[in-house]
Amino acid sequence: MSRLGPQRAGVWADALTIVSIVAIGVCVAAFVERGAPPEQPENRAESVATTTTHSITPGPSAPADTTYRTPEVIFPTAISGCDVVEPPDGTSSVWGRITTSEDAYDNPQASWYSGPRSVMMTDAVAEALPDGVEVLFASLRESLVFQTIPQTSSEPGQPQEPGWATASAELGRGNTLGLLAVSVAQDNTGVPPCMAGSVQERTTSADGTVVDTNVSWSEFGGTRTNYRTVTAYAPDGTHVTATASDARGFQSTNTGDRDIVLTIDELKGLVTLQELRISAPVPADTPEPREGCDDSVGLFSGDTAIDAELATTMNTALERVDAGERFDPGLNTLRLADFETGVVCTHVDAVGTGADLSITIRGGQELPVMPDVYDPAYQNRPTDFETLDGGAVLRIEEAPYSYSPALPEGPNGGMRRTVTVTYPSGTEVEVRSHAERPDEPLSANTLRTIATADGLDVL
Amino acid sequence: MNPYRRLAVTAAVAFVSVGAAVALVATPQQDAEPLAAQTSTSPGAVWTLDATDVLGNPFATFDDPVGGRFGEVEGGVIDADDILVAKAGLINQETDEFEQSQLIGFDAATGQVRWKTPADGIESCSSHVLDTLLLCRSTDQIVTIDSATGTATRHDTDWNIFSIGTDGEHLYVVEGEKDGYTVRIHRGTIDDPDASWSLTLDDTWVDPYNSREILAFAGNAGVARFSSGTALFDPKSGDITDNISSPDCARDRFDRGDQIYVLAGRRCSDLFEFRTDLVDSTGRVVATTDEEIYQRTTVDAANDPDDPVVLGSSAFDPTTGQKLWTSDDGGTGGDIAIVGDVVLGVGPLARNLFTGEPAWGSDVESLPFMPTAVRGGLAYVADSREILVIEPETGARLETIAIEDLLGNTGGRSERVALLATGGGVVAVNEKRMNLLR
Repeated sequence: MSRLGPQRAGVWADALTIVSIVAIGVCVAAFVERGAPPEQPENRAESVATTTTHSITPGPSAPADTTYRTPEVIFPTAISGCDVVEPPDGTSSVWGRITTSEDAYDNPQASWYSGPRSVMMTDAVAEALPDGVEVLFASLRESLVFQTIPQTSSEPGQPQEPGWATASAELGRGNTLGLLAVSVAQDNTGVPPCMAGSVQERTTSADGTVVDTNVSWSEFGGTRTNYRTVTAYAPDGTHVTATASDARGFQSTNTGDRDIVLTIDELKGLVTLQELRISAPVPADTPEPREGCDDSVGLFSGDTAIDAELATTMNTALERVDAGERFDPGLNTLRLADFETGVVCTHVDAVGTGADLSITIRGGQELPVMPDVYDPAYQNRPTDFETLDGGAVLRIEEAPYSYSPALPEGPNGGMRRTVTVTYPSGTEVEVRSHAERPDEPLSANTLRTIATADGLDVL
Repeated sequence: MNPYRRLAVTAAVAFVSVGAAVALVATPQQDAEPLAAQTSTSPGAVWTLDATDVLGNPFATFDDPVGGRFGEVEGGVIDADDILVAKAGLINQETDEFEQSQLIGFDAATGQVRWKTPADGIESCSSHVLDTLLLCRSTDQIVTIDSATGTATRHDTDWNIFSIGTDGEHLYVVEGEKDGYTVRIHRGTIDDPDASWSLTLDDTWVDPYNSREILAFAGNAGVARFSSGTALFDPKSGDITDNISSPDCARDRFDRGDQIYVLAGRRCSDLFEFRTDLVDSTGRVVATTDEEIYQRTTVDAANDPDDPVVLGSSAFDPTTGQKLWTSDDGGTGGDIAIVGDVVLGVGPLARNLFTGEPAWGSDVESLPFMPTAVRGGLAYVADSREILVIEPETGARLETIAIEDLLGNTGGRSERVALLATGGGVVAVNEKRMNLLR
């Protein structure tokens, strides 16, 4: 009897892969546009006269206002620290990048960058934040952690654009919150000329580092973003930009009064951090960056937005769990999944077992039903399926795999074991452990203890 | 994308598909119809029959009551004139057994279900009926089913039955010991199945998993296709006229008029022997070539039985064996089809069967596959996306029927169809749905 054959399954998988890639690309583009406008300060130099209109989502609904505006630039003008001031160049504004690879810290297009270097940079920026400023609840991607540099392809004959390593986050300070993005690149094109509207002050320090500052705003569809931005051009080819704005962070669930939370001087302190120089030595014992809790982009989104308070409730519940294993970090480290507002997750190691553990929690899920024995879906049925007291459904799934062809050395396969508990409320707790042979994933009982912990059914 | 995420994505798709399947059947038509809900007719079809409606179960599928006729495509019907008979059931995903199976008799003109009969223990049926009786078998029983009423009658035998067949007048039974090397063919009646004669073939066997029909009849000839070889016999006398088995091998067979032709490779295991013969039902070689030909005739619908036959890249007069023409650019082997005065599959496009001249204009789009059914002089071709109705003389595509429209939501099951010409039209066969095209 024929079923969903491997070929058709492959076609489906490929189609959805493409969808996912496009989704990631869109997310990246959106992130860039919202989070880091001043990365292209030279492009925001024109008055309303060069207003650009671009339709982003053509749809049946009324056309959204996509007018992009920036302050009118006065020229000629004088800029402190600049001998010559060039007129604004009038080019337009938005850029985005579609990346089509799984990005890694080891990007051959940015050989200066690496996983340990990103950790050093992340730690340095965290350390340098002023007292009273905290990184707010967000995904790992949005927690001021330097991300991978996307691989890009350039047109033949065109120079390769420098790749930026960016860390961004929503920061809280007192009663206000605002966005910070710090980006680092290797760029050997040197210090650009002072351009009216892009630079308000230029200073040159003793070691030859040029620092530009600018305070301005941009408006997209009638929503204005105010920002302060500082860029450092170091003699070793490092370009560092730090921008603080009152924009909303990408996929943020934080609420409050938005404002620019860092001063120009505080931003200057960030861009001149020695650890952000591309030539800064990386201490030998610097670890690789922590793995994010991978979520399947978009496909399994929860429909309840999870804010810091809800996450804390769940983390408190997880803190109380005694699963008979030691985890590093602890289980109480749920944070938003990348690109999601309705999914929290964490990824930890089970110390001394060779197995890891991921917890993913989301709301709005339907109670699963065991497929009929005549349903082709029965082939993919869970190993175990039971209804718990109170109506929650627990599923156990085991997915062993082998490498084919076998690797020349190392493990030749492994297994993922997943325990999923779905509550009648729609809250779904998925606890998954993975290990490669000869290690075994954590037992179903251990996963079950975590997945059924009291206090998680809050979505 | 890593394999795990791929898996997750695929699982999600499966989930969505199942959801769609459930949605599809969530609103059954609760008519007064006692036997089965009438499936609404698909665009391009005369009628449509969905296995879900037939059995009232969302996971029901069709199976071929004859067995193994369409390769990987499941489903199929037996043509009993006004009635078509199909087999529907449920595949147990744990055991792979086809459970709760029923033989379904339905109106060939309207697709309305007339009767259902449990098919428990019925292994396979003959593609041809004896008067109005369907001829089926269990391991040791001959089971007849009245095509008008569905009434099944079981007749015990002492045999281990491999297959059952009819030339329209008599009953033929092929039997032999399981895993044995001797096979017997009997001719008789339902009550006395070896009344006329019995013949024995030694060094002959039937694969235990064989699901194909063994016997075929045309005019005064019978052909038995075993796992070990192909035997030609005289249905009247029960004499073997030819037996194409090791070291020779039978690669294909097709019937035309009163003849059944068999494509016989000679000394097939010999690395240096390449002869291929086209043999008629009497065992006479009507065409020969010193090439190793693996040609398969998907359909032969010549206008006259004496029209040329094709072997490899040449056409022959079947009466005199004279070679009529040879294509210089045609590959040898592969599938061919003869529809009227046109042969398809020898070289590009189509050739006149008598002259070998190209039959279609050079701007005519070639066919994706060979036609597998002919009706009213038109060739039916099933692509992966559509069914084409072709005028053989010109290659004109008279009709294009979208398979997606015919099948609707298959709930993640196969979207491949096979074509089967019946008296009332061409049935597009699929495991979920059958559609009559006309």
